Amino acid sequence: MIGSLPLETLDPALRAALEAEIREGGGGPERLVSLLHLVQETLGHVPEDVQELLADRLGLSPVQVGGVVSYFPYFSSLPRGRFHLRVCSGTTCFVRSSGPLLELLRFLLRPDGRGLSADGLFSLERVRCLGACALAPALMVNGRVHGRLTGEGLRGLIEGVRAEAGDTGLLRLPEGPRE
Amino acid sequence: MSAAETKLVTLTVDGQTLEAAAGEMLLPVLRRAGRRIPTLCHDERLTPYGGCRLCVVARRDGRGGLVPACSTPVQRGMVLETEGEEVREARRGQLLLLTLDHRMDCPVCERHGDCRLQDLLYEYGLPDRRYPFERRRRPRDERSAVIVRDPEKCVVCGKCVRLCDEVQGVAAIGMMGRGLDLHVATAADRPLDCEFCGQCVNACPVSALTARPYSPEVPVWLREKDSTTCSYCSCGCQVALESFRGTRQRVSAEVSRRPNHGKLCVKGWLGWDVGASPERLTEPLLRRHDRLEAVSWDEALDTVATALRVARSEGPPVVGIGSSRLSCEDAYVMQRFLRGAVGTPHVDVGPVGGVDALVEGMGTVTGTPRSTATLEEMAEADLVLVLRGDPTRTHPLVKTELVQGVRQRGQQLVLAHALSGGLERHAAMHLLLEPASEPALLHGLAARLLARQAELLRSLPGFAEWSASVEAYTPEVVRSATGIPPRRLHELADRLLGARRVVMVVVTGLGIPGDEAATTRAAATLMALLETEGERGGGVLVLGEKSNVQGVLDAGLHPDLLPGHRRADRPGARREVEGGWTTLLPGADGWGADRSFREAAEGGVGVLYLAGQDPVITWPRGYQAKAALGRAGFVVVQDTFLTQTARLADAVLPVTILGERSGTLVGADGVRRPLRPVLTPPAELPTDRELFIELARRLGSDLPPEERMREELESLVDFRPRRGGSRRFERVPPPLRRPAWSGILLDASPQLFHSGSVTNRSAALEALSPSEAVRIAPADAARLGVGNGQMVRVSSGPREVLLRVRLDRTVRPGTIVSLWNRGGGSAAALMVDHGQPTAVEVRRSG
Repeated sequence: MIGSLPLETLDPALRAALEAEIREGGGGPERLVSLLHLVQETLGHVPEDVQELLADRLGLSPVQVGGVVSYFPYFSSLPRGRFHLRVCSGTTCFVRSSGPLLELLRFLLRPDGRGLSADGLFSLERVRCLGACALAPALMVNGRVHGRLTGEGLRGLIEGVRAEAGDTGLLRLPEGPRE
Repeated sequence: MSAAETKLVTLTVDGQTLEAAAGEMLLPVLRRAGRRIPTLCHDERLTPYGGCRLCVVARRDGRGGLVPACSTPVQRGMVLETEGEEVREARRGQLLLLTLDHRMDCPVCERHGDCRLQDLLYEYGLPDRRYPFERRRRPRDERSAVIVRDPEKCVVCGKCVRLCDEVQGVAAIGMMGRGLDLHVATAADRPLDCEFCGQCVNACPVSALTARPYSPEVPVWLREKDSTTCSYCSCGCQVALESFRGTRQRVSAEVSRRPNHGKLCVKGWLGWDVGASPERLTEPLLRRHDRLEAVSWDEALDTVATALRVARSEGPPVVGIGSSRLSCEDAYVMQRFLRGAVGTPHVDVGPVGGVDALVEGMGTVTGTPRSTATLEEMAEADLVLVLRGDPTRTHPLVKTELVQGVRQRGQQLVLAHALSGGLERHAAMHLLLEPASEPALLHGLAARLLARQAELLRSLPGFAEWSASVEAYTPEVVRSATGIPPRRLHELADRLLGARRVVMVVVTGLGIPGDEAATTRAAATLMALLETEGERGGGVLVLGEKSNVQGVLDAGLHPDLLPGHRRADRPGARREVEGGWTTLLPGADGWGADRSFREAAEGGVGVLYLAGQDPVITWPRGYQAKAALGRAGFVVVQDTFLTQTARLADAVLPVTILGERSGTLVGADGVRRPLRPVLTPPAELPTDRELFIELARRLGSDLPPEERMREELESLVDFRPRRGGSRRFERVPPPLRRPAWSGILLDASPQLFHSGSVTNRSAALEALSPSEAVRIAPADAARLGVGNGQMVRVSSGPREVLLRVRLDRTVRPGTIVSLWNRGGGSAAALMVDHGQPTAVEVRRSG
């Protein structure tokens, strides 16, 4: 359901789920990370109004919630595309030319300042290391690793996704090893 | 941890054997032993952090390696080296990393010469920049009216973030990101919206945070530093002002000085510009042809002296009302002038929060109008019960102590009041009471505890009557009076019994509904009940509203109290004072401010002498100030500004303000602290006491020289903090049925940025909280059909004021918040009796 919610609007169902979690599991600051997981997995990001809601319920200040969100790369306070691409810039990938691949992706997707493509389909993030050095250069699409990438392969990957999303709305990705 | 529980162990530091408590952090131990240990992120008020790694010392006991002294506990047999090449090299390495990403503006930096990073670079040398690194560019954040942030100077020590959270309890700023990207920011990077206490700025070791009003234009070595006591509230904070040729360059506080340990609030930090207000009076004024005209001092003083002489010989009497902002010395001279030179017993301090709580509250129960707990005892208590108000709004230093108590010492904080202020976030229990029902809650607790404690108390005076009267406060009666269910009442009773040291804090301030004296008596009585069992200690701390409530009472500025709390109606006490003065005292039937104003409104006052009071705009309507001023024979107003009251006076005598004179103040904790003239008056102006001395001379009833009167004050008044020894019980009134409550509750009690009188003259404070006059919860506003910025008519009975609306999410629905004195719209005009809750109606205007 990633990308299926209007941005920055708190879904009543999510709100109810959060309130229920807090009722059942207690509302101390120690609950923050598990609730952030719930939001991240539901919305694909943790919008600022949700951060404020959580701060209020857990006895924290909004900036303290924001600090945790910004600390863990898994959480994002900005919306991500339906396909979130994490490009590895670890040592091995760097040596195997992940830099030019990232440039190619920027050319293909034209992401805005937040890393989001104009059609909302893709978001782009450069990460430290995916731990898939044997497959370098590597990139991860929504939790699935794609390795030994070439410019040509990358182009195909993106165009394939675009075509399928445009044609049918159903999405199949070329198979790669699971995360 | 008490002394008995701490275990001393030995450790070796640079070859020297030291003893220290096991578990204590190394840093204070090493510093006590005279070692110079550099730090950037350490602050003794905060929990250990270990962020800057400059305090590293080398372990030489086989455990090896460098450890941060600030966050490494002492262990038996440790062997440490605090200097030496390994340690110095490690510190140089840290400094290198810090300087790589620091904009080195030193020659033009406003912290040049006053920068902890610069100090360290002098000591350790500027490191070679041996890594290629491109300094990251981050724009200065200049969106706040007060605080400018410069992230390119930040060394990410986190002191600002931790003070804001652990001490201030606000957490308006936090750490964002990680690694190289770690930086200080607000939530969603919005403009800074906080209490503007300035602690982040004053704690910043570099110039990442600066204050717009105090951006130093001259380097530290050219500035003069002066310290004095802040005179806004009764906390008694010690403030250091740095100035250069009369302009203030910096206002801060020293971490080592009590009571505030470096902490300030927005008023103590920014409110020093009142004396420079363009509205300052510099010349005396006399009423001629129904207008106030500037005249010479000679003429003004002669006219006032003549009016006093006529009233003295021909009656009706002279009444004098001073202010709790007078210093002890000014208050003493004022009452000496009125009682001794003019010969009138009608001397009072006026309706200010804290006077009744001390005189009628503590005075009745313990025999002495003083608190029985200090700020430090409150900080060390296991449980603090805060009654009537939220110190966030009235006494910000107390608030920070409570936040630290909860956050750093595991203190239980219980709040019981009708009007919140933000501290509830830190409270173990928050009892939101029906307005003015604090005494009923305390009587209910006493009734609950009575069964356990009665035996030991039976012999105390008044106990039988008191216990019979308090038993009427059953849990159900308490519920109907306060709105608090029996379950929570019992929980609080259990918490009180379970705590070893309990301090009850009575917050006062004009506009806080309820009888402060009854609440204080009930608290002191409940405390007496608790103290009978085991080794329980503690007491009651009354927070007077203005800076010197305690001191002016000590000095005798009260109709029933002579200097040193001597009762005016006790012959022995009178003789002690008369002996020192070589004057006979007037009768013991002095009027308080309310009686004086009633008499004046009936034409029964010859001269109404007001020093530092603005009753027209700042006293509740019930005093009928305008009628009293209109019918009094002659009205003298001694003040710094042409107040609404001064406009109606016959004579206006301008004086200096507190920051411009010397003297002493006695804080709520009973400690007497010095005032120093740190500000320069805009013209040559007399002090209050100089005027009284001069008027007495013109009356032909000379007062002794100032120096002699100071000696009198010291011999008549024992300012040393002490405890009232006795305990007396007084019957409590039978429970009332809850008053029929309709409409909206007016919350006109003091605000953090404005307390309603002097603060209105501070341009800096005005900028933070502009003239919106009434804050309404969005839900109420929707119901009333009013929006932001609209004018509304707020009325209570026949009284009505016109105010501008500001929607505020933090306001509790059913309540509207307005300052009791705020420019054009004064909510004080709606309050008849400031002890009673004021119900209002709100209607759209037009």
